[in-house]
Amino acid sequence: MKQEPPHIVRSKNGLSPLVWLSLTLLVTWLVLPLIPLAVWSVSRSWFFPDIAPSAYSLRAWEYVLSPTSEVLPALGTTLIIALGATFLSILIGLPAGRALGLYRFRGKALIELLILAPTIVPGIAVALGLHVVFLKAGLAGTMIGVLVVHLIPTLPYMVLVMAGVFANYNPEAEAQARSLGANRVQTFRYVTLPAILPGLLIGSLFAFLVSWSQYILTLLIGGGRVVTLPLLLFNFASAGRNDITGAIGMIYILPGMILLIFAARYMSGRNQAYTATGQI
Amino acid sequence: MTEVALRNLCKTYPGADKAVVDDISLQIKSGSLTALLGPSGSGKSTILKMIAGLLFPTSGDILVAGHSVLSLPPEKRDIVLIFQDNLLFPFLSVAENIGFGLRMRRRPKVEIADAVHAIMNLMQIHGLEKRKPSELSGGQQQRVALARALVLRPRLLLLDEPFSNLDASLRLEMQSLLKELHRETGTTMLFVTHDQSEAVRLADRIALVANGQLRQYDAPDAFYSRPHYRDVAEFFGGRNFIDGTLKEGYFECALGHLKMPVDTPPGGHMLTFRPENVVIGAAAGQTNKIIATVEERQFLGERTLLRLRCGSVTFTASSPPLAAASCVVGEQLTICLPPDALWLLP
Repeated sequence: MKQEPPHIVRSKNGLSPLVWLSLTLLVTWLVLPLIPLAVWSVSRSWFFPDIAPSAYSLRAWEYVLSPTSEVLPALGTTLIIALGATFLSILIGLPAGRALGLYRFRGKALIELLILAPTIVPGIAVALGLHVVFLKAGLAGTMIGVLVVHLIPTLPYMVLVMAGVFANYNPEAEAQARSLGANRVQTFRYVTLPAILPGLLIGSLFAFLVSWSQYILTLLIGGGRVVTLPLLLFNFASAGRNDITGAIGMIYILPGMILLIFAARYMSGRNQAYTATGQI
Repeated sequence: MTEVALRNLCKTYPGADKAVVDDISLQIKSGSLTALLGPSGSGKSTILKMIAGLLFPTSGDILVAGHSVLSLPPEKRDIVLIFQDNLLFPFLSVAENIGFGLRMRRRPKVEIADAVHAIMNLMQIHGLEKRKPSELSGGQQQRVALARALVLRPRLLLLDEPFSNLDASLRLEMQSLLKELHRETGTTMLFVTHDQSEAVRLADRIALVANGQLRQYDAPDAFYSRPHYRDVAEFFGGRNFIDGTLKEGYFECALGHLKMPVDTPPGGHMLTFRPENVVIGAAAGQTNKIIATVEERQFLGERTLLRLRCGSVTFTASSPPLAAASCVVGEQLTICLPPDALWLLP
């Protein structure tokens, strides 16, 4: 038995007090700000010193769900762009992460830095530079243009997660499958995919949420013609319509919540499989 | 019939200046159990991967049953390679692992289940169907890997260092299992090993490879009695190499005037003989008697090694411990080198 370092005290369910503390903080940080949002969406008048609104109404929800508002089409646009960006991120990020995780080559460190760069460089700087290119390419103001520009912040997450997955991956398992009679497609479907699926889901989750919450890039490349939920949210928030902001906000966090719950369930149920597949 | 022929097979990895496999030609008989023996880095595994279709040769050809297989992808070759570390799929159960190849061939479920059941009985691993590979012992994993390949009834089975990760007793057990399976299934098998004793114990024929080149391809006993080169003899534990010249059936060297076997081919300049074929305390009348001084005695358990000096040369004899018990370091000794034990190297 390996001696446990003294500063890690394990409680009965296997989580240290430190983990509990950070979990509690995380939940507080994430959930508490949502409560006023929910209350705002059903309030009619709510002024500063009051702890609760003085009158309630559903008019914000009526507006948001009505065909005259842009909210539901914007939800669709946001969803299509986020799903598209996630799909393209997988398409590009999977082979890129595989190359970075499996092989050593000259300039690898530089390429890793370049991939990370979009997460460090302010989005507005990137977008301003790209705007001219997108205008010339006829992509500015189009949904495809926005989708493509979303790849700048989503790809780094996908590539880095996949590089981590492939760093613990033995590609000879694929050769073994080929020799046992699996063709290329079957080898990917039955050998590669099960091994990388947990990482792929995490990378996709990141990519989806990063695209979902994109504001600056959508605004600059979309030029106001591609309207997503963050854009609407910003408009109503800056116009002081806290009730509508609250209602849109509730819709806005829904997909993220659903995805997170699914991912958490999947990951906790698959924990063992994940550690096992990490070794092949 | 699964005769396998390698024709001038070469492999140079991109960017490398030296060939890993350098012009190897080899004919493997159908139904044989052949060892590809050589030190690590000699290109053995590369040869296996090229036969399996996982690597493409730089030049040369591979023929199976008379037809080149180079244009076929690995899954179409009907040749299965078992990797060194088993590489069982961790997310599949034992039964699913064994049925993997048949499933990829889209065989009916019932047929797969029957075949898996039968092979598991043959391999004596029935009852483990639902286990995950991580829940198996090393020997069980090895059996599952063998079963996964044999259930496909491949025309050629390739094994890359199949037993190198097992401890000594398990290795012996698995070696006899492989030998038995070879006898029962009649599958043509080619296995890679760096262990000459393993090659000798299992194989019908051994192909010794060094630096990517085929040094000798022969029956196991030939590597002891008729090695082609000094390095071949050394790889099999040969220790005695004495320069001299062959004259009319006799070899003139520092050990004297030694009678050679009648069928000795001409052209040899170096005498070699196995330490275990040196007869100690020769009876009168035998040929090739030599008086030697015992320089060192080394007890190795099953054998005792004696380092003997005769004039300017030293050589090694290996004798049963009891026969060597009377040999005292520093004293003289009569030994005999039977002509049949002598062999000449170029």
